[in-house]
Amino acid sequence: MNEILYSILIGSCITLSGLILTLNLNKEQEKIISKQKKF
Amino acid sequence: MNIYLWGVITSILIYLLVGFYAGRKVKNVEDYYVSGRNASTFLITGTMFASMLSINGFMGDTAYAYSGYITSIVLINTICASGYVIGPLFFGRFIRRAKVNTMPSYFFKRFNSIRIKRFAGVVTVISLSAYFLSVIKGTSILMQSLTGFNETIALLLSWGCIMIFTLYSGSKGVILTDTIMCIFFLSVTIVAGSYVFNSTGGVSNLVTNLVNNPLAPDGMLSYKGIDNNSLFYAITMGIIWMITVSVSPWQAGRNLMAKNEHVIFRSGVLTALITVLFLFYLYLIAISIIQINPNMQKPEEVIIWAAYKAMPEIVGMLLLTGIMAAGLSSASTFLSVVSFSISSDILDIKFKNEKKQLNFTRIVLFIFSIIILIIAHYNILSIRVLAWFASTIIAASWGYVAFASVWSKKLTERGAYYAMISGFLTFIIARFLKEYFDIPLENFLHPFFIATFVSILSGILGSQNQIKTKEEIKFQIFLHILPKKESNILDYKKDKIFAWIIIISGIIISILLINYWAFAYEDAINLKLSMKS
Repeated sequence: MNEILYSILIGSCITLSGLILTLNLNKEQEKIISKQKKF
Repeated sequence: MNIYLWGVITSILIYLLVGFYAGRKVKNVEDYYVSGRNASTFLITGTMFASMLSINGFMGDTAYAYSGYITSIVLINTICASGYVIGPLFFGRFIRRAKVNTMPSYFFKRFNSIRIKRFAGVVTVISLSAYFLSVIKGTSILMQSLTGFNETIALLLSWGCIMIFTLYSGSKGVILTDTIMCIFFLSVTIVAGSYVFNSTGGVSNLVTNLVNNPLAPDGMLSYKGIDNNSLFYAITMGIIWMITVSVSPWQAGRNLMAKNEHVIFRSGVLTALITVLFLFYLYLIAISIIQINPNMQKPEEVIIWAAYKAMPEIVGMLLLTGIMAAGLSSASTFLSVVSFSISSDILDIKFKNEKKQLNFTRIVLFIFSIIILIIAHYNILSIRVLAWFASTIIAASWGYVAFASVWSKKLTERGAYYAMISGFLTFIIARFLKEYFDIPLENFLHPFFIATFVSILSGILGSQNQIKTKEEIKFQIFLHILPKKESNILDYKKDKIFAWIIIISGIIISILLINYWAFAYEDAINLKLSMKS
């Protein structure tokens, strides 16, 4: 059981960093699109 | 001449040729310091990983895995790897936006302070000189065993190779040779691993074989390894290294060379993936050796032993030359970063033209490399003391200042200066207390965390009753303005593909580990218990 949790912990470190990157990229992309719409 | 000597000489000649090719393209200071700020995702990934993985990764970390701590070292690397993804978002991209040549120059621009630039330069020089020294020593010891040359000639050969191409081509040559070396040691290790797995009963049977091997460290494949405190240790060390790769000049500083900010994001993702997957593969090789050679007296030589004994001679030669390349690539990065900091940040002489500045930097680089050669030859500094200063001390000194320089509205020049000095000194004092008075500074009381805490406190207190100057405020606002060139929606879409690759990779890694490690381990333990009873 502990080994299963450890496996999830290892994978989730990577996944979490990818999610943080995606969320930030999405936010920036939306900002750029809304700016472009204004002009 | 033996096959190993041929391998060493051929590889050195290739690196020198590549260095000369790149050196011909150096036209100005920007080319020399930051490779003209036009490096691709491929080159930034190559130089980032090659600078990170030195001989220590092939010897120290594999020894740790072999001795029963593979689960800890895998977790440390995984947490560290996420720094390559998160670091660029919150710091790496902003230093590129500042268009500086060194990281201390970034702090100078951000805080409009010469004293901060000088101190950051001194920290860079002290820390990376220690790292450079230990890597060049390791490389020459390996070269000595490969070629049969005596210690002095092996050291001279290592020094000469690194110094010549770095001196002539600067960062343009370093990132190209780093990438070639990276591809070389990645590919030969993958090929060499297949021979080791074949000769040790196959990687698919590794868990069962090790559980049933009475000579393997007891419990080494359980989640906590052979030490009950290893989980906590792995988490804290992982966090330390995650911050280190996010803010250190020999890692985050590579972002100064990137063509644009999208390159920074993408190379961060690729470096993170290589860190996790390649190092995991390397550790599997190390623990497989337990099947054919348990209880090695010098576990740090496990991969070298495998190169001589567990694969064909030609593959072994290539693997050892690859390990040497890992050392040379890190050393060339350290040499260039330190020399640039001495000439640009500490001495900071104003030149009439770029040609004079370029020549001066080359002279500084040469003199510095001579000093390191003398220290290495006469063993003036012990490895134990070197370890105090190498690597993580930079992050302890300016980790907080780096992130706060971008995101804090309150941190002033004085606060940043106090934070850097106190972080640096606290780290040294805490290491001293730990080493000489056996004070148990472990886990979250690790000197790194104590130093970071003191650094933050000093930053907050130092900023009291002081307001930011107009220049500081103006520059911080500028940092947050996305350059027009970077705001192409298509680039963001491509970045997100990379982000999704790493998200999915994490899920796949978990599934594979659960299937091939957690379940296999449980089955093997149950089988062992039922056979006993």
